[in-house]
Amino acid sequence: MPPALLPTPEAFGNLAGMLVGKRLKTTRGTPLAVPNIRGVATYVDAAGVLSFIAVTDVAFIAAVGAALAMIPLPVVTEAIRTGKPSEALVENAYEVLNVAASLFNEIEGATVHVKVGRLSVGPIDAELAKRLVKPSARADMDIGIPGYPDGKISFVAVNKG
Amino acid sequence: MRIYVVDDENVTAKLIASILVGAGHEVEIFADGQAAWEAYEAAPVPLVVTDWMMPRMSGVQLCTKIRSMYGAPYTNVILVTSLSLAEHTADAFKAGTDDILGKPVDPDVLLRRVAVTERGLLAQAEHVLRKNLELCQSTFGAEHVALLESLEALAEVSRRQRSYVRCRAFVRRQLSIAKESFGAGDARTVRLQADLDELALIEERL
Repeated sequence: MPPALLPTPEAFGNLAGMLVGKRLKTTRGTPLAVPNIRGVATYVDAAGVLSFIAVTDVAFIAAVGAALAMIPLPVVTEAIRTGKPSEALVENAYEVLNVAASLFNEIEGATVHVKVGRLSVGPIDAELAKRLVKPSARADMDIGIPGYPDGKISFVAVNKG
Repeated sequence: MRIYVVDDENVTAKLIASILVGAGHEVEIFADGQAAWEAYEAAPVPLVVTDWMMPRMSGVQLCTKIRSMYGAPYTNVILVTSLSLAEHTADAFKAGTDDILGKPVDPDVLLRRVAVTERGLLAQAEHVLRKNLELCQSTFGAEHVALLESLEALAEVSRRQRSYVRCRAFVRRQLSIAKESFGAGDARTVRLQADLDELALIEERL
């Protein structure tokens, strides 16, 4: 099976920046430590098979979710402080991650169709955490949105072998 | 988008207008620059598509007038002409023309240029509305009606830009403010919930 192509920081930054209407600063980052994972989005293929996982810290959910609807900074800092982003922030972040599914759809010239299943907030499920250990590919990014704190996101291609 | 089409040749004016109306624009036709200018002074529009050579006031003169109007929002002017472009473009651009199209007008080319204009105008509108929202947020409490109106305007711009994800985010935020401020049964809250449902249906159809 050819290696999965994951979005580059530039590609994800351009897409998310277009959605939130701001120029994002995106750079390659380091993998998120499991205790710092607060958002988990799963992407399934047309057959419903888990293909990709996106894991984020709480700052990513809060900042991206806020930027999409121009929610003020204090709401974001409070979400980061408590570790509990509001429903609106989570729904907005979900929308961005849903659109990001389009970035997975090219694998070595072949097209696959993935869609985001859900975005759950909280610690990562133990079974899913195991899938992060030996992925077929991963892309770790630091995301800076002007006016909001920086967040982290990692896209992981699930090893189906 | 509201557009003035100005041409002393009735057939050409109607042809251009039908292309624009077919693309969903609201068009008014004028037979010369003077008539268009009188209408523009009373009600400026974001786009004027005008012939160059006309009695009473030419397209270039109309453009000069439009550019001299202090305080009006920016209007894009597309000049349509059968004159040799190379000789005259400098005069037209000097007068403030944004674009020049040759006659006969190619519908696809015209609509592409109009789309460019629309994108630019929407970007300008969004910039102003974002500033307005920031001002509302820093000046008023979240319950203030001005905040809802500001978000509504941004949602409308996003809808016209076909950025439904952003549009839904703005409506969702309005909904949460309306729920908190007016209650779930308030007419404004109910309308916003209906908007959100309608947007979800639009997205499903896309």
